[in-house]
Amino acid sequence: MDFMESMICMMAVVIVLGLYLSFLSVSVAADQDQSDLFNPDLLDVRVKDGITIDESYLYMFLAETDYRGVSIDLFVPFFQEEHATFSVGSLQHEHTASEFMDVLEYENGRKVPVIIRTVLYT
Amino acid sequence: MMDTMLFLTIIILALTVSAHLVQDDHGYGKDPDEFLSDLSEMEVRLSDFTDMEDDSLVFFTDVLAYTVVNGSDAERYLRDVLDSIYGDSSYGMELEFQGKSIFLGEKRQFFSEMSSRQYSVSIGGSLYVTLSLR
Repeated sequence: MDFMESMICMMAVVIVLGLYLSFLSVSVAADQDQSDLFNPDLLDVRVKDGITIDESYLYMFLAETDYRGVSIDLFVPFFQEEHATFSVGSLQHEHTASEFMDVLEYENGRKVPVIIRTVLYT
Repeated sequence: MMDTMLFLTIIILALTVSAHLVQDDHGYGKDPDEFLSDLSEMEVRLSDFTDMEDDSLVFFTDVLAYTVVNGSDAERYLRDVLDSIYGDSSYGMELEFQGKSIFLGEKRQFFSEMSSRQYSVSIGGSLYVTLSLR
């Protein structure tokens, strides 16, 4: 194989690698769903005459994304089986649902898990 | 020969990057390490899960250590919490204390993620917890 052939092979490899990397970057960008922007830590779940959340975060989330509605379902296994639900915006077309866990300062000093189910609507 | 080697190296690198990106699929709250970290923060009353009429606050890991040896409602409680987060056939958790152990979830040989942690128990000794996810 002479010098020219080596150069052509090298260029072919570089082109294939370039195409792969561009494909990869497009795929990663597509996977960055807006639902990833939702941060359940910012819900500020508290217990005061029942479970409450900071709804202003939900409004802020809707303002910053293309979602049109969000609903939150909370329950504390064993200690409070009754679910607390909150919703903001239009709840027509369900897009994605996620479940999270946080440790909640519950009654009488207990710190127990709260299950947070979030549904985002378009 | 050199070109082949170079090409193979690039393909292996590309596959490694792809595999890494595909693996990073668990969202917030699904990471077993994060769950075990939360477990150490939990505090309950002794009377919540045991027959003892003692309302003092204790770390949940202390109750779990007691449960491994004597059994209590804490086992069912922990199973309910894990079911709510991971689904009832997607995890396996082993708790070990003083040579005894209990297992929650599904026994499988292969899991995609696994995390272990050791918790100091107030009555002495350590509780070992391993959480595996499918």
